[in-house]
Amino acid sequence: MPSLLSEGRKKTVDAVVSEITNSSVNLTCSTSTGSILVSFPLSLIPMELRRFGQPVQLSTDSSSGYRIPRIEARIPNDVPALEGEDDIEEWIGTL
Amino acid sequence: VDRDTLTLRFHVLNVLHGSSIVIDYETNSGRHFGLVDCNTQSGTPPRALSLLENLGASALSFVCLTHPHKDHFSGMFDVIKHFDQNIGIFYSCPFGDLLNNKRRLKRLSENLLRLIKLSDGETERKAALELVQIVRWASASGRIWEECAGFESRIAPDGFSSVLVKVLQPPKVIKGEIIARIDLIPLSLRM
Repeated sequence: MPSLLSEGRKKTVDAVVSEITNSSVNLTCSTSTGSILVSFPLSLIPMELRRFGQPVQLSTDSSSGYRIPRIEARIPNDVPALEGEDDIEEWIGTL
Repeated sequence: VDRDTLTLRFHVLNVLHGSSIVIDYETNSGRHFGLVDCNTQSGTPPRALSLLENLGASALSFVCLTHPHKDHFSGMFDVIKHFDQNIGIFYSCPFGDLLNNKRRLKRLSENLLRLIKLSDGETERKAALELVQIVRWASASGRIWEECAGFESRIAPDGFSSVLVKVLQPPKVIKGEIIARIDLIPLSLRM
């Protein structure tokens, strides 16, 4: 039976922490067809990644014999500056 | 006050998530409006703004941000820009400390800017930018920015003087937790 992580399939998925609640962390996952919101239990998300906007990477870990999601930090992709960002930076400099 | 001539309407908008309420108070001396929270989908004009325009609002007695979650402030800066100088009071919770504590105001703003620069989540970056834009607007000189937190606090925006408005939320413990988060660095990019 082919594995979900078999050759030719994407092995990792980029995501961003979108919401942190008392019981879960919601990740916006980028897929080839768009983005989907997936809710994970807190126990699967390392404490240092429970930050709004944190870029993370999803993969699966089967080293224990069970296949479980693995969520790790990742380097953010390059994105253009937002309109108004420079103004805000300048204003903060005056505070 | 002739109470027979008073009409108080609450327009609770369906914004799918979070909340957005337009308050419309008609008296014999005129019509007054207020906004409590705002939410909209990215790139879509906020329903609150469309409603206020349809109601003929040219000024807002107040804008209130009950707490700084994006499903309560998305699109609020669009409303603020639209009415700008014609907004009486900006109420927020639990940002009251920022009114006097410029060091914390700067730290919050720096952390939000850091999030904008270090994240690649479009929605999250835009939310952070919008929140800091709201804070910047509210902190400008001449603006009336008031805290409305506490177990019980009465607020009295212009035009609503004959309405008893009591703020019940949030409990102090929640306020403390949110304030404490301002001191945290929002992103950790340790690999």
